[in-house]
Amino acid sequence: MLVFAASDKGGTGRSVTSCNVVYRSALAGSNVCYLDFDFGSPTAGSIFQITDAARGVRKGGLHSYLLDTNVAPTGEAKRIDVWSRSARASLRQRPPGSGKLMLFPGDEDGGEFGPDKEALRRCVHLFQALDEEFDMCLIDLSAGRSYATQLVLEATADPALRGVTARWLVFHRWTRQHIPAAGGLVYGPNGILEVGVDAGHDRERLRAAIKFVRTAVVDPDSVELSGLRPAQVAWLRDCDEDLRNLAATWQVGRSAVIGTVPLDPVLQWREQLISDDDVVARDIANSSTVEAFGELSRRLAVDDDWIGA
Amino acid sequence: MVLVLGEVQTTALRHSGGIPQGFAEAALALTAGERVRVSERPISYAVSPRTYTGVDCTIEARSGAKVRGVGTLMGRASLTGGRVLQCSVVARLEPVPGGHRRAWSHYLARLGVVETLGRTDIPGTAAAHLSADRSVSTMGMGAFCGGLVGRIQKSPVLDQQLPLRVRRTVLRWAAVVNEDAEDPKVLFTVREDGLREIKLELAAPGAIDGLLDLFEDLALHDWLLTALLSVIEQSRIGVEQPAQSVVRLRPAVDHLLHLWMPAARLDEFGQSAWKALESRPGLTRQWDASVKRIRDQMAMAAALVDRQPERAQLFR
Ligand SMILES: Nc1ncnc2c1ncn2[C@@H]1O[C@H](COP(=O)(O)OP(=O)(O)OP(=O)(O)O)[C@@H](O)[C@H]1O
Ligand SMILES: [Mg+2]
Repeated sequence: MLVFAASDKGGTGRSVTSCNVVYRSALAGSNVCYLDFDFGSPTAGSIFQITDAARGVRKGGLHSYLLDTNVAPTGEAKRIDVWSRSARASLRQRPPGSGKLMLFPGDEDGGEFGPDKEALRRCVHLFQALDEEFDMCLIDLSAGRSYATQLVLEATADPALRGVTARWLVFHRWTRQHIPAAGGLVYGPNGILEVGVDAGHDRERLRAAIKFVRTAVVDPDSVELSGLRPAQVAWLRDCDEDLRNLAATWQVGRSAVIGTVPLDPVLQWREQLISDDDVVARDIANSSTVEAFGELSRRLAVDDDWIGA
Repeated sequence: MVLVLGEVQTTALRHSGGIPQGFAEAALALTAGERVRVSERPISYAVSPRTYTGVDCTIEARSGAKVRGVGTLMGRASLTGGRVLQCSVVARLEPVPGGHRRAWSHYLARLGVVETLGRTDIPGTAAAHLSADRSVSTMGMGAFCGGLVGRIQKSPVLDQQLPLRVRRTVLRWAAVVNEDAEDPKVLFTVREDGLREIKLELAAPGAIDGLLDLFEDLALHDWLLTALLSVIEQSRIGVEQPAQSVVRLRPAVDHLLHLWMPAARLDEFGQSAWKALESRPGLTRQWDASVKRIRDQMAMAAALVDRQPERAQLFR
């Protein structure tokens, strides 16, 4: 299965959430990989705490795999085994029964690019080969309408990938600006659906394969807010109600949502993986955050949640 | 000295079960009008017609010395047991004096040969081919080989259901023909990054087909062992209940166990090379031990199946 992570705006929590979701899947025993297709700012290395790839690698990352003009020597894209290469001690103890957790980093000196037939061909080959190996490949795209998004829409429309399930997660914050932006990225002009249909996808099937993820959400009823005055809570509830109505008008409402990640103090402070240890032993992260990541990782694989896709 | 370089990629065919011979022929028809060769014994096997691609590139020796190479790479694909797909690429390097490229007709008359224009460091080129990072490959052999895999995997006759998930294996090989060499010497290594490399030294060149058969057979069995070990790892023996582990071991029983037949289709030369490899690293020894482990798990699960809790696990 291929999972594409997209967002209209930058800084939505797309990368952090995605990294944590693949981490949860690996812990549950799936073989998973994370492809950093955010060519302008590949940051997944820092979330997984890979010391020498924090901002991408110097040579052989995904950007050069797709675009190196020296066609002849191209072999494979560089991969980094997170279990053995992370600087975080708790990650280096791979639990028994866990699956592979592999990072395909971007390049330090990457950058966005335009339509390219050869890049498309290589992209198809990459997805085909990785699907042979991994239960789930998560592809982190750059924010907004990038060529990377068009590229993967064209790649997944290629007959070579006809047997491969492809699903989309569109991340947005739970705010008045982010909700219309997320809807626009999917349904609007030059949005995922329009570009996808141009690339050869069936509109309804593609639409059913796109779901939304709300990030850094403040729940008015949560225990963290128990210190608020009743008037403040009432006001927060109103805002939340307002946002829910807004989401419904933009077709980003409940039935289109696959996950909601609460605002987490650790993530607010730093982009990182949240281990069980952070919740249980150190008591710094919220268990509801980890549960949300786990739930998202499970629902990604539940076909009934993606009917029609 | 003559140098023959090659690469073999091995993977599971994108099809839910073994495919019938007719499908295999359709999937492997790489060259229009040329026949796919098939045989049923001792194991079902089909091999594509040869296909070629032209190259004009820089070939680097380990020392960093560069030479221009012009000619053609030869590729072929094969399918064993209707399940395991292998694509091979090979080229014989022939140093020629003078630094000028000839007309293409010249190279087309010598398919599968790449002429190196000028002084060529043969052992150094072999070493560079074998030790190169996975992201690069001599003369673009890896890209050509991977392209063939991709082409066959998307064939419309395949149902696109993978029987099991394993990483494609890449085996790079170099055969140095050295008249002074005594007995053929073969060295098989699995690198830390997973790449397999084989260095073969022999006195007489023999037919290219014999070499290809040997290296493909080695790559096939190395892949089978790799796939088996990966299924065993994922079966979570000792973590799960035996009945659950057995369910996870099933792909090995369905798709792998019956394919182990080392050197079954090889000539005398290939058989002797296999024999040398069996003493070290001893692929068959590890295979047998792994198969025994699977059978033990199955026996234990069967013995426990009459106990209620186990039964519930198995049939839930
Ligand atoms: N659930 C959350 N609670 C609090 N903060 C969060 C949460 N999720 C993400 N963040 C924080 O938001 C910031 C942006 O996250 P991240 O880098 O993942 O976003 P992004 O969408 O990938 O951004 P970009 O478009 O720049 O790649 C980070 O500082 C991150 O730690
Ligand atoms: Mg990001």
